[in-house]
Amino acid sequence: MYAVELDNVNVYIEGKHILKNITLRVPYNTIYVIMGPSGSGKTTILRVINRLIELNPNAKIDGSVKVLGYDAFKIDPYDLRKHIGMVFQIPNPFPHMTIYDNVAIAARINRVARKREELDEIVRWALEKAMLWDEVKDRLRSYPHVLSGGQKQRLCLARALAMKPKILLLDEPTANIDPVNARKIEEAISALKEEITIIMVTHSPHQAARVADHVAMIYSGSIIEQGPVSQVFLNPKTDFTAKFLKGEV
Amino acid sequence: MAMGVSRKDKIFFLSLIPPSITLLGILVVTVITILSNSLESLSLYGLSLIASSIWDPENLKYGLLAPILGSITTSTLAILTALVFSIPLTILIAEYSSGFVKNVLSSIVELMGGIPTIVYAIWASTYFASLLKQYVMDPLHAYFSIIPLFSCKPITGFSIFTAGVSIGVSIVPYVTSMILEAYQNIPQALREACLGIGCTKYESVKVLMSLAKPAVLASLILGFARSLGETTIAVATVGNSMYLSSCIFSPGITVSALIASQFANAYLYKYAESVLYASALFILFIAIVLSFVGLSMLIKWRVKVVV
Repeated sequence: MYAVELDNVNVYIEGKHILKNITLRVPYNTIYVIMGPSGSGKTTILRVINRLIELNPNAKIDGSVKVLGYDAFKIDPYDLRKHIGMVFQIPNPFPHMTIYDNVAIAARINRVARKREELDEIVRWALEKAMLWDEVKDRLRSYPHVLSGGQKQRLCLARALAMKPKILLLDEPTANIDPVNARKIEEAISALKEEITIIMVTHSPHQAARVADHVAMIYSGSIIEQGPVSQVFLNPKTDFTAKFLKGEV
Repeated sequence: MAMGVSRKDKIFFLSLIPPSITLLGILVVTVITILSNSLESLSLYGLSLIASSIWDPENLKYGLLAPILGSITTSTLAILTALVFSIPLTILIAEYSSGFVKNVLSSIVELMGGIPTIVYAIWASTYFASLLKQYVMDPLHAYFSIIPLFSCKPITGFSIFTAGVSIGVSIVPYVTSMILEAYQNIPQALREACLGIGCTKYESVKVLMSLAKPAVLASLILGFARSLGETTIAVATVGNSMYLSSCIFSPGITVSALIASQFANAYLYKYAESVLYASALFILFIAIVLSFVGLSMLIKWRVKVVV
């Protein structure tokens, strides 16, 4: 049993072949990192898993996608997404909600907590897990514009955690923030895999090496290599992977 | 010539100036005309002009309270009506339609905005007024006559209520297009944020609408300003009575309707013309202030959310 299984998934957008025969298996409670250069289709894989890809009316998908054992394209997409949290490349907290509400709304919507005390508790838990609690505990009633980019991204991570997802998708969560904040997010992620299966996309081999259990190397829409992190990093099978790991592409 | 501006460019530029200045000039002259013409009555009657509701031109008694309150009440009813239609329309167009259907729906809304108000006025006075009386006003009066607003028995359909609702219907396209634009301008990243935390469609719409709330409010303020100036529909449906009542089912008057119906005969009575100018000044002032407030709210919202 895997948390996420993709079998021969193809995606075409406006006739362009974006993902080619993608097959991957993500074991429960691991960190699975998809790495590759920009434009190789990494983000599209995430968007297939939670079916955000369907927001694009020109996208065509075939193949099989199983999430938590269910056929993702046979169940209601909104039900599917209730089990899958997502953190996007650019931090996107709700600007009209306080820091507290930004986290609480995810818990409320997914019926994780209802009473005030339960909500307080889960907001604190999520912010602690995202390693943001100490920085915001005295200004939970402030709006997110007072936060730095990296703090905003950790707020988004906390928001995704507050929905108590079984799977967490991270789309280059540290691409647009400073190294200190990036490290904090990496630490937070590493601590989370006890509870959640994490699939992360990154273009940084270093980041992959720091957090991943399994890695997949994607290039031009195809997975050219995948396996446990040590195997791929120590013994890359393709030239491209070797070059990518050295930072040459 | 310096900076590469050719002679032709210069002539072209110069040719743009007269129309622009003329237009500004017209605005300034209009304001000055209204102001100077109202001075006579303003200095003569002072505050009592807007505080009194006695309208007796033959005895030179003028009070604009009834039309001013009438304008404010009808405009309030109008934006409430517009709100009832605009929010669902916006959600339907933005969230539940795409491609051809979306184009058709938005075109219908735009088309409605282009219909001359006289058409709404005829329809409202011939059909809508009696419909409203039978299905809304009579029942409301029957069951809620304890509330002062509904306390009087509607005699004909022509009333403050009918005028407000009819004007509201006519401004639906205007208000909808503003709310729709704001709603569709919400960045994709925030729509995806909703889906990323497991929102259903309804929950997403709720979050996004709460995000657009300041823009909705601004649109309603601008809609209010526009309703104040709506004349044709008001004249046709409001009942044109200078009698002041706390009940919205009684006939009343608005400032625009007063001016439209009285201006031609105003020369017969001393000061009447000046009083009408003063009422126009009042509407102009409110409309300018509200437009300014509404527009700056919209701009502020766009800067905060969209960029």
